[in-house]
Parts: sequence; C-alpha cells; structure tokens
Amino acid sequence: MLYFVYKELALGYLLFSFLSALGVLQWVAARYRLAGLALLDYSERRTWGYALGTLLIAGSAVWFFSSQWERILTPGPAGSELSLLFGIGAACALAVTFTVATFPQRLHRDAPQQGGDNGSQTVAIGRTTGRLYLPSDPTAPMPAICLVPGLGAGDRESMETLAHHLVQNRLVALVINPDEELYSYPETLAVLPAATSLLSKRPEVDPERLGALGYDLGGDLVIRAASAHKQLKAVAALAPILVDTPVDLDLMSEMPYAQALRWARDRKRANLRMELNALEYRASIAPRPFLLLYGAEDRLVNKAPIAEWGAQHENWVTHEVIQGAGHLNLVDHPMTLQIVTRWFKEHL
Amino acid sequence: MSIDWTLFELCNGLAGRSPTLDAVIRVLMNDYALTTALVLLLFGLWFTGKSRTIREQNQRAVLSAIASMLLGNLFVKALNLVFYRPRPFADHTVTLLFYRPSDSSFPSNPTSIGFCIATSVWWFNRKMGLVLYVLASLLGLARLCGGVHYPSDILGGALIGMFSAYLVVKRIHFVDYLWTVIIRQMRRLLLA
Repeated sequence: MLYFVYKELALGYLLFSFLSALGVLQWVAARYRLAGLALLDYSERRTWGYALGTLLIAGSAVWFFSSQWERILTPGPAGSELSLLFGIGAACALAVTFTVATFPQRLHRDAPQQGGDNGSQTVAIGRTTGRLYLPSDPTAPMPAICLVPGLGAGDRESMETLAHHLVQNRLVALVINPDEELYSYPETLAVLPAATSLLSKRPEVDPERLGALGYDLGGDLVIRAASAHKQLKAVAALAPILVDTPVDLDLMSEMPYAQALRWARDRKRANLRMELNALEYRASIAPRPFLLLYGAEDRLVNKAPIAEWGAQHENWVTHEVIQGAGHLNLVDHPMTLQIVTRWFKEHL
Repeated sequence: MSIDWTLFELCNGLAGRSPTLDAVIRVLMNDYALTTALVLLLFGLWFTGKSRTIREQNQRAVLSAIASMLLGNLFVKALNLVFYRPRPFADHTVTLLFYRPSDSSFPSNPTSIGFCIATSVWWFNRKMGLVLYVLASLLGLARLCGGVHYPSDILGGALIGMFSAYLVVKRIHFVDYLWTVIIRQMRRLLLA
C-alpha cells in the first residue's frame, strides 16, 4: 500500500519531477534538434533551449527544496512512492511537450509563404489539375518543368515558391496539385505524360526542352515516370523516399508528435512507395541528366541507399546535399532554389 | 571494525563545523536531490544520441539501470531480512544531520541504487557512466558525513549495486531480447 506521509511534500515532488523532466526534454530538443520535443522554436537559436531547460530544472529544484526543506529532513515517502511520483511527473512532461510543441510548428507553417498563386492559371492535366506559371513576357519558346509535390510532407505553397523562382529565371513551371489521382497507383503514372503533353501544346513552351522535378514521394514518382517517358530531358528529385523510412524518434526532428505519428502510420504512402519502386527504375533515366538533392539534416528518409548511389559516381547523376536543410524545408531553402534553377538552365 | 569507525569519525567530523557545509551535506544526503538527479539523467539519456545506434545503446543502458535497481533492491531487502546492523547514532555519539532512520544500516540502500544506475550506464556509455558514478559516490559520502551510515555500509551498497548491474548487463542474457522488444515497441510509438 502506498503511503505518501505528507500530501504537500508528495504534490511538491510531483510538480518538481514534472518541471525538471520538462527542462531535461528542452535540453534534449535543443541538443538533438528535435522540434517535436521543443516548447519553443529552437531552430535558429539552440541556446534558448538550453536556457529554458536550465531555468526549469534549477527553478523547480530551488522552489521544491526551499518550500519543503523542513519536511525533507524528516521521514517521508519511500523509494517506491517517489518512483511513482517521478514516473507520473515525467509522463506528464512528455505529454505536455508533445502538445505544446505543435504550436511553434503550426506558427511556422502558417507564416506567409513567398509567392502565392499570383501570375498562375489553373489547368486540367488528364483527370487531375495543376497550376501553370508563365514568365510575364514570353518572347521565344522556353524550357518547362513539371513540379510534383510530396504527399503529406510538403505543401503546395512550397512548390509554388520554387515555381516562382523558376519563372523569374525564364523557365515555365507547372505545379501538379496533390490530389487523390496523384497518389493512386497505377493512375499516378499517367499524370506526368499528361502534364508534358499539355506543356508541349503551349506556344510558350519548347517541347524539346521539358524537365520534371519531384519532391518527397513526388521524387519517387518522377524517377519512375521518367524511366519510361523519354520526352523528359532532365529529371530532378528532391529528397525522394526510395526505401522504407525508419520509424523512430528522429521523425520528430521536423514534425510535432501527432503529425509524426500520422506520417509513420500512413499506409497509403508506404504502399505507393513500394509500388513505385523508384530505386529499381533509376538506371532507366540514364543518359539523361539527373539531379538528386537532399538536406544534410534530413532524418525523414533512409540515407543508406542514397549514400550507396552517390558512391557509384555515375556521370549522369548530380548528387547535391544542402547544408542546414531538413526534409520539410528543403524545397523552400534558398540554396535549393538556386541549385535547381541553375541545374535546369544548364541541362535544358 | 576499527578502520570502519576511524573512517566514520573522519567523515562525520566534517559535520557540525560550519552551517554552510552542513547545509550542503543535507542537500546531498536527502532522499530527493541526488536520487532525482540520477533518475533525471536516466530520463534524458533515453532520448540522447546522435544516431539511431547510439540512441539504442543509451536506451539499453536505461532499461538495464531500471532492472538493476529492482534486482539491487531485492538483494538489499533479502539482506535486511537476515542481518540487522544498528545505525551509527544508535551505539555512538555522532553529529547527526538527518532524521533517525529505523532500518538496517548495512547496506546503504540509496548508495546501492546510485551504483546500480551508474554501473549499468557505464557499460554502455562511459562518459555518462562516469558522471553518474560521481553523483552516486557523492550520495554515499554525504550520508557517511551526515552520520547515518558506516563506511562499510556505503561500500556494501556500492558493491551490491555494481554486482546487480553486472548480473543484468553481462550475465542475464534474456534481458537483451526483452530490451530489443521494448525498444521496438517504443519506436512504433516514436518514443525511442
């Protein structure tokens, strides 16, 4: 039978455990860049995480020992009671962290994105739709790129930032909307041919200079579709999934707990990844130029097959790693915009 | 016994000399400060590691530490059933900085817990293990200075703790499989 001796002491210890465990989690979040454990956004300043963690641990310790000092020096709860209180406190700290950590993520996601829908028009691509971005003063037919977004990972706005950047550099961009059609196999394989067919018919587009870029699972789709669709003259994949993603704590490096859990349990994604089997089809892209781009901080993909691929030094593959970029912010990253634009300008 | 008593007198002699030193000893020897620090470090260690492999090692250390604590506690309870040693203040005049515990002086249970944790972690993570050894030793030393244990109680607790951890980490092989299962399940919940 549990016996806590003093109610105030037990409650005080519970609160001390909770706050100090919260502090430890902030240290861990800052040290290992786990956004899903962070009460505030530490992506720019890690020291905030260390400071908040230290404040919580030291502050709760000072409060507990100063308020309970007399009781601490008298017989109190035994080890089993203290273990239980600590366990409850730590579990509550974890639950609170998971809940509160969604706020910095949400604020970050809700921040206004560069670009928007200005200067684009909605077009029908077979059974799906997309947004076509054209330079304001097309003088001669220009190269065009189909942009395929990710599923559940990136958002359309991210691809639109990239589309705007491409248009500013005198490339036509067609962003395919991430609807059901795009993520149903084998229907998804028809989307890219339909998009290139649409682009070929546009007077602003040079049909001999078409490229495709996919992000996340869209990267897998682009690799697979380009293997059979020879009209695409240059192919780029940003953080393609390729093989099963390891499911563990690392998923919280860029997402809050609930989103990471949905990501990990998304069977639709996993099945589509397997059906696309992009890794098996990659060789069919050769000798066309291929850009494989990853974020150095990306912990949402399995890096082993990518490293293996990079080590083969195939001359048709350009392998780039963006320092400081993760998975979800890869498309928006200024270095990505620069590299992708320069690479397509060179190869189309 | 004479060495034990001489060492006790030496350490307990530090108590009662300065209010500041007494306060420091009281902070270190109570049931809440260092024990919570040890467990907090274990809690943090679970989430720590630059790679999946290192993190798994740390998580095995945490699980081993918990199992060692349970085993160590069993040893201490079993010993208490067959052997009772009165506390130093029961037989001698000592400077006591704490309340008067009524259970057996030998072995020191808090020290045993501290060394269970430190030794278990040390097998997997030397740096963190060392930090935990320092904290566990401080706990034992503070209880000695505070007048609630003889040096041999502390030594006994430390040996029991280390032995329990050794059994769990190096001798009881099925726990390896158990840890693998637990870590796999925790990964599914994104908690490992």
